[in-house]
Amino acid sequence: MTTLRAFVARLRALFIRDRRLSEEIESHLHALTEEHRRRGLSEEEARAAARRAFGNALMAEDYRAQERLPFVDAAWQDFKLSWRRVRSRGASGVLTVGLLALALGASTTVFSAADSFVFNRTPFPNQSRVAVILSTYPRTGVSDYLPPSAVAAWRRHADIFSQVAVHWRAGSSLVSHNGVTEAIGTRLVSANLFGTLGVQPAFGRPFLTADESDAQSVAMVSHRLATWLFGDATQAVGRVLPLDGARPRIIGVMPPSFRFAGAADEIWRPLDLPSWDETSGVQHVVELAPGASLTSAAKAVAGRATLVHGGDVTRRPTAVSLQSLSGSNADGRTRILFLSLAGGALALLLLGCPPAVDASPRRIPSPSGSTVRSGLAGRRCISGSCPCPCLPHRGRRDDG
Amino acid sequence: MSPTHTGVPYGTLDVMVLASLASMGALHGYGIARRIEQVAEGALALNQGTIYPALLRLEQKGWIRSAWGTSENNRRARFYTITAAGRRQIQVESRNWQRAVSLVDRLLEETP
Repeated sequence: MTTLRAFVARLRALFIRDRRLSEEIESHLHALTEEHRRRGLSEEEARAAARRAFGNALMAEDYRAQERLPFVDAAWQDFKLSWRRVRSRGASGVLTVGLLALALGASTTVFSAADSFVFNRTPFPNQSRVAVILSTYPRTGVSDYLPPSAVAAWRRHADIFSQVAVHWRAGSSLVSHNGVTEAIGTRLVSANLFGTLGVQPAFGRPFLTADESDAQSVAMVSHRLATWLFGDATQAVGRVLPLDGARPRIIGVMPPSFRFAGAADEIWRPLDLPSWDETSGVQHVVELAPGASLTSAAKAVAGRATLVHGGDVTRRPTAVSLQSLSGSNADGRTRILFLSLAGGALALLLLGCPPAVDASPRRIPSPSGSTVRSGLAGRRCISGSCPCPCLPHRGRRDDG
Repeated sequence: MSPTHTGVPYGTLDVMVLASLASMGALHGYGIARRIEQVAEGALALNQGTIYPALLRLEQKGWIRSAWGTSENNRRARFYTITAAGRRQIQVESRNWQRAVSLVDRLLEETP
């Protein structure tokens, strides 16, 4: 508790500057001076004696270190120093920083590509033809779900969508096996979702429309979950999924690489749309109709949104749009997170630049008019007698 | 090293400040320094400026609190008072100190 209180006080001091130290020192020195004067010293001698008694020239530094969080101050000093050094280098500094940024960006791109193509292969084949209908609040950029009644409305627009599917994240289900209980991510999906994505179960069958009205009795599971529960995923179909409170029968096992909606869901159950609460939205996934491009479909959605969503009982002040599946996760919060990360990366980049800037080759004019390249620009002169503002070479003092 | 004029033993300034405030009531920085020097009777070489980081440290821990007031020579000064938590801390420090002293005493007694 004491440590926490001290930390909070020091954190507060970062933002609220307390200037009491100088006033306290002045008051203290005045009292000491008066004391020495009463002992018979002159004004000047008393002041000097007070200074000696007060002592400790580094006291203010100790006080500052105690008052605030030294590592934050040090980081801020480093940041300011880095910025000054980059600025003092002018164009060459900007160029070096730019090259560093490019190199970092290139590295990130390479690793992202490697992650996407090598480690996380495209989870379903239809990805380029699949999009999501988003309902976005214009002011905040935050996405919201669409009402379930919109499904039937959009399904009538067969010129742009060949399929319209829906899904909803249902939290976690507790699955117990061999005395171990795991919370497994669960998603409710319309029967045509997997068909829309162009993916088929590795074993068993996908959901049928008839399953939607019997949502409690069937489920599909991930390959990992099936293997964990039954030892062999091929043995899972037809078995009972040991959920906490329900016992649906497993009708299909998804391929090992299948992932959807950026979540680690491993149980999928049918979404019974007719009984779905109209005020609780669902996420819409569409497959573009043959001949329709994402751009043309997006224009059509924007133009027809009022017609389709005119009867939206929630009356939400949102803008309806169509986005590719990969870009649909970039909602307002994600953008803020991304910008924060980018800002942090920029700050780190700036902190790391000065050594790179200093180490960059710099042209130093020599007395003969030619130029000498030095890898230690501004530190030690290699000729010793040049007019540049560098220090003489340490090993040859006589020629400096 | 002079046997009669030593520096403040490491880690003891805080407890000296707490004890001064516990016995004297509200004091400003100068008053605390004078109180410690008086009790030491010249046996302690105290740089009075070192009081202030200690005061801040104790205040951050909630063992003392401070407020502006007017000193005896009519100057604005910050007065420090001990809190209930500070009084409890004195008891803790006292026990620690007794333990440390008895340990060193035992070691010294074994010295031929």
